[in-house]
Amino acid sequence: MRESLKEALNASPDNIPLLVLYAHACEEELEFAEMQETWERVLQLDPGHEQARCGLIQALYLSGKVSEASVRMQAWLSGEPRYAAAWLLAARIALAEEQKHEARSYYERALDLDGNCRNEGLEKDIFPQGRPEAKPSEPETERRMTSFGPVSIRQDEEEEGESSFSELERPQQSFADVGGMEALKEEIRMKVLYPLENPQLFEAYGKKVGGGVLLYGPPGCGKTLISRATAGEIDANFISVSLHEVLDMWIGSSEKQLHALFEMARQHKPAVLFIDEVDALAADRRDMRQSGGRTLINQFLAEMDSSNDANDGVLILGATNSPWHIDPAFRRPGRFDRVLFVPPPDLEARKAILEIMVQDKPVEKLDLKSLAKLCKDFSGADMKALLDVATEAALSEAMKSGRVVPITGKQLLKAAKQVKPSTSDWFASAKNYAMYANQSGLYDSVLEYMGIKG
Amino acid sequence: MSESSSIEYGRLMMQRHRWADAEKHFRQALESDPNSAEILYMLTYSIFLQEKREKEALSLSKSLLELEPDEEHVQELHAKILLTLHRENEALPFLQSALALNPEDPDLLCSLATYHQLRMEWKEVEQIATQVLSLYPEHSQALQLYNTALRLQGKTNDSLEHAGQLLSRDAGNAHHHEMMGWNALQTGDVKQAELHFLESLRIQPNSPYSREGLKEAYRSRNPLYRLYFKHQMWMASFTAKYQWMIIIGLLVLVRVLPPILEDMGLGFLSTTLIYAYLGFIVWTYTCRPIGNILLLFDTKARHALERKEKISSAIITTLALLGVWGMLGGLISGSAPGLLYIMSGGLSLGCAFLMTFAFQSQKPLAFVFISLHCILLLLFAVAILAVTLGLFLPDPEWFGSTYRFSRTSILVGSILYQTKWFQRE
Repeated sequence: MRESLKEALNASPDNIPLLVLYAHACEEELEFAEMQETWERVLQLDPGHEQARCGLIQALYLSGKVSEASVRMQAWLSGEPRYAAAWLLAARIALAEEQKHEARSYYERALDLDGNCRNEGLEKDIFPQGRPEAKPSEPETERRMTSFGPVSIRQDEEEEGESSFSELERPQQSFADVGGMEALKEEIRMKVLYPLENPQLFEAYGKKVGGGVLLYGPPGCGKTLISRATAGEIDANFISVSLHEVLDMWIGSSEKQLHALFEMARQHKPAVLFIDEVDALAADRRDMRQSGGRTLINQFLAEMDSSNDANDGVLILGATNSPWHIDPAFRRPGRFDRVLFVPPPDLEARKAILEIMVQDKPVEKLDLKSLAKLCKDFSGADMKALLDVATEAALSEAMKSGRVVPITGKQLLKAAKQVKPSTSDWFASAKNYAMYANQSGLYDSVLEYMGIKG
Repeated sequence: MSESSSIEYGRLMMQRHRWADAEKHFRQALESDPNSAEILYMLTYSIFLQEKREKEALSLSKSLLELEPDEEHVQELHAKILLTLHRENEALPFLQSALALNPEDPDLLCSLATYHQLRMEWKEVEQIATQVLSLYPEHSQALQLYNTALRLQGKTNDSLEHAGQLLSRDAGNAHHHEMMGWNALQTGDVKQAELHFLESLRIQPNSPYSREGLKEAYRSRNPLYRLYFKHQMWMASFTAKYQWMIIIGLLVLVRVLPPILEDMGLGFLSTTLIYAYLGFIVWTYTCRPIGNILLLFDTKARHALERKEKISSAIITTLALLGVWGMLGGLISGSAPGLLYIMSGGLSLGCAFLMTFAFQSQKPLAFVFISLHCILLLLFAVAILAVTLGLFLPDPEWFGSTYRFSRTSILVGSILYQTKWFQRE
């Protein structure tokens, strides 16, 4: 079939319907590289061809280039396509990236656009306990960004000031699900969990339970994961907030949304309010030329200080890659007074991450410990890139031989030498702050990690 | 997200100095409207403000110029990027064109002053900075340019007084401490310089100028390095043209004087003059990497060095020490093998000298080429040592011509490796 289509294409290389048929044939015969090339050709001929755009991302996803597929999909979803298959594929990619919350949103969006695009297999993976019944016809909706793309908010809810842009969850993960990072876990136990589990002790000394903890470290090193696991450990509601859910271009709107988030956490105690990229909301006021930005910072400070013990039982976890951009006022007692450095995964954590990453892939028997040793200073994302490189090498061999070829240890070792740790840039910046602006001892852990005596 | 939201989010990110996030949003916006000059401008700016991405920004600003060739802010951005890349001559027409439309814009005038600064035309820098400060007395960049211009014209008292006044007005300003640091360094007050640079870095830890200043202060603890720093500052007070005239003048003097001295029966003085000249040249080029070696013994100062600086200083210092050891050994022994020691020591010193260009270069290929050149020279130095030990007896003619070729290659290399073909990408 594919061969005959190829011959037809030789005669008519710019025939789009023929190219579409050929791309599908490639997919059926697991020729993903050719499938990708074909969809790219269609897009050259017709840049607005939605099926081709979707097909190209699918080809990347099927070739194991999940990160690239995810990035391309993110760019597409930002334009809010009304193409159900795109949302369905986005759900599949989000699931592969273990972003179940996003996967659910995308799947629902796909069904909103086309009720017939239901996919039972995917639905089972996304909703292991069964998909909740769909709400009756929803009113006019608006879009907002989550960490991956836009999801719907009901207009009437927003008008009432009810913030539904972040969902409550009860994380199932605990520290046991986070491989390695024992020192950090111990620190969190001592500084965060123990006070929450023994509030009476703290009350006896007139101290409040809750408050704020700032997690900082290089990107992609598990700040979100450890926050989720912290919430799981104390069996609290978890509210994850990304920057785009708060920041808004309209004056006063960001402040309103921030207040709504805190209110939501207060109403669902015990709760962990996790704010990712907190430096953008808590930026140093000296850097802000416009008063609009300063008002948001003041609002944030006011929410953290909140009177009448309103924040008791609410743990505010802030994560940032650049703690030096945070206004010093946020580090005063009662605010982010506990600061924890989340270093790149240690050996045990790297081994655990690699084990999870290879578990669904065809691999020969591997010495993951030796591989993990080679990945010093790698972030989780770097290890994913490493696996992508090795997968591509295995795939190219598979395409030559026409059968599934397992990823070998040699391919992984080679990939480990090719991929450079992305944390180096972060440490280059952090080193300056740790060496020259560490009067309060904020960066002692960074100095210790880098082996520099303060 | 709609195109306008992406732009607005990009702007919000720019306000928060999150250039990479801003870039992401502007890229999204550009995908919806690929022909928008406004979005392309903001995208280019957000990339330009990120470290080591000037070249990417330059290629975007070229596209931007095709869309909006007469826009003043586009020309200004393009010129700024070129100036950052030290391509000042290409930047000048864009600056002039933008200034023709907006002759009193302080940022544009400061960019013009930066153009002169890169050409070491300090008088012009001072004039332009004074013009900006007469309109905007607190313009931060103009204040810095003015102070640098005073200092490098040798008006040290004026520049110290100026920096001191600024510091007394605002002691929490990192730039003011940085200015004081450089002035203190120039007057030889190393301790004060260290204090001011450390204070500047406490306020603004990522300032590359203060970091460089602090390293200079650490190195200047050594009197020999202080001498070198003074020499550097003295040379920097001349424009590039005069600097070359001094170098060539010295070279001519060294070529012309020895025969005259020999005719006068002062042969010893002639040899000393040649050695002193060569030593001076090698010293001026290798002083900084050798100075870095001393920093490695200081618990605090060693962390100020980057990995590349540590490697370069280790290699260059080793080569220089081997060279000095060979030459001194040869001079002391004074016999025929002594001459061979001098030859091999000279080659090693030559390698130390050439390797400074390799480590300065932005081109990996140039680094490899110069390194290979040095390896060849070192192999020949080893062969010479083998001759002294009787392990190797070469044909005297081959030996002589190879040595002459090596010497000439060092001379040619020292000129060639400083050119833009070897230094800039």
